[in-house]
Amino acid sequence: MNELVEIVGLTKAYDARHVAVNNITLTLPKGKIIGLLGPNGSGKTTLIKMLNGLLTPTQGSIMVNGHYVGVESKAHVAYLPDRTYLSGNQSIRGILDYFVDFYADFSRDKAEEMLKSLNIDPDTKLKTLSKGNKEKVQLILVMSRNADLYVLDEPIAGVDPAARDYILRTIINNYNPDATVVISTHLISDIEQILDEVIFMRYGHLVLYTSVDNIREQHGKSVDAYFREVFAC
Amino acid sequence: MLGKLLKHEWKATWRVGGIMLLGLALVSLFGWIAFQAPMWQSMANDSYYDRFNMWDLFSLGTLFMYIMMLIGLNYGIIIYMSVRFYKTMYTDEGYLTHTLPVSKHQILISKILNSGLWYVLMELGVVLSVFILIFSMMSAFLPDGYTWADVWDMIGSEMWQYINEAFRDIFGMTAGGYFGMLLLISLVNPFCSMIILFGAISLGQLFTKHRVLMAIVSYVGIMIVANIISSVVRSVFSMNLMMNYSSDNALAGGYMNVTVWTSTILSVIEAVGLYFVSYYVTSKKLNME
Repeated sequence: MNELVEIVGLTKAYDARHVAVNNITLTLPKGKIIGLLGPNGSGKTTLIKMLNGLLTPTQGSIMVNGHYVGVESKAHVAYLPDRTYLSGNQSIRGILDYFVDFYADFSRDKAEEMLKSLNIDPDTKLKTLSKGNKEKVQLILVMSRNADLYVLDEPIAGVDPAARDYILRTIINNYNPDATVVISTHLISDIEQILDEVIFMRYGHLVLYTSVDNIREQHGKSVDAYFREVFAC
Repeated sequence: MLGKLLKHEWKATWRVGGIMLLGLALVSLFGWIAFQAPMWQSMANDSYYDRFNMWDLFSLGTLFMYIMMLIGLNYGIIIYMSVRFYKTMYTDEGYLTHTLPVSKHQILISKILNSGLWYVLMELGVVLSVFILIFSMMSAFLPDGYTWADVWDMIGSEMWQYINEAFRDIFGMTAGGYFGMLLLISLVNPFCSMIILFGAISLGQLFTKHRVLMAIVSYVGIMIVANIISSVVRSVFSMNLMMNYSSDNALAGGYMNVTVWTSTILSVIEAVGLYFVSYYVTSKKLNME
């Protein structure tokens, strides 16, 4: 069985006029890096939140590794939200303790090594770090897990190009090769070179799910160029 | 996992809780010092006193501050725990809480146990502080040459027997039994209060906008409904008491018992109901913005 994520008839409607995700059915395999792409308001973050149990679907279901979203699935999904979700008053060491306690697949050594390479003192409080370093710390925490599924929501938004390179390097060098990485972004050209597959979303609908090679072969274009064509205003 | 959640809840709250308890200890110390002012000694000796000075002014000011601080600390711990619940469950920090591989029951129980425990500690601190102050005040009123040991001797076992009889007459139980019952209730009530508050905060999440405001409205609504039900139940029991009372004392004590038990039992029922409201919202209706 190569399926990791099975999404069936997934819908999230806030009310009759605001349907953020509309009847999506999708199966994601193991061992791929997948770009979740779409303009603002296309439903990417809503889909990711439902995948992580932060939003309750209006209809449909999600299974990760054979488990509906819940305690079991969360033990195998490493999630990087599009915001700082850690308490600024905690020291990084305290946050590491927290992750060690709750995630059996978390490697403290790996996290400390990555922090050291960035010259970040584990005794520093999170709130004293710059925005870029906060994002790097969060990414380090996520990538220090040996998860089955990594879900990264806008990991390179709002950081400088050097930080982007660091983030992409960290993702490539640290993810479990048997796992799948889902990266949501609209900065396609920055991540295109690491993607195996792409999902295009618009107005909550699934527009396209295909491999990067397929786009290049069939349309003779880069993902970025094809995205611009599909989503042209 | 519940143990780990509790450990981290405690780690995240012990500093603020500890500072509040330390504040309480300091306020109590000042309260004790306040009763050493000459004004109180003079009142105790029933002697004319016309030398009201800075020391007396400090004493009155401190006692006013003492009362304000006591009320502030008591509400402070409730507000702190409620804000923490809201922040860690329904704001950005909730992204971590709700993606942990733990059940919603474990999350809720860890927060209820930790905040309830802090509330109990604060209540115990307040009771201890009031006892210290009463002791300090009564010391000021002790006649010259008398010590507490003398007072204790004077009370003697006969007095205790009298007190116990009075409690039996009024409340239908010994003084020890009555205070034991109050202790049990004061251990249960803080946990119920926190569950009710958490339930109201969770109810606020069912609205798409103004969730904090709706949480406050929900809490006020719960309190109004609870008070109406409590009044009706109390009235029914009181009527029954009035028709069957044996003495005025028994009537007064019976009414107090009905009041205490009605509010406690209703609190427990509300808490159970609102626990499941929180569980329902976090497991079936969670909508993190």
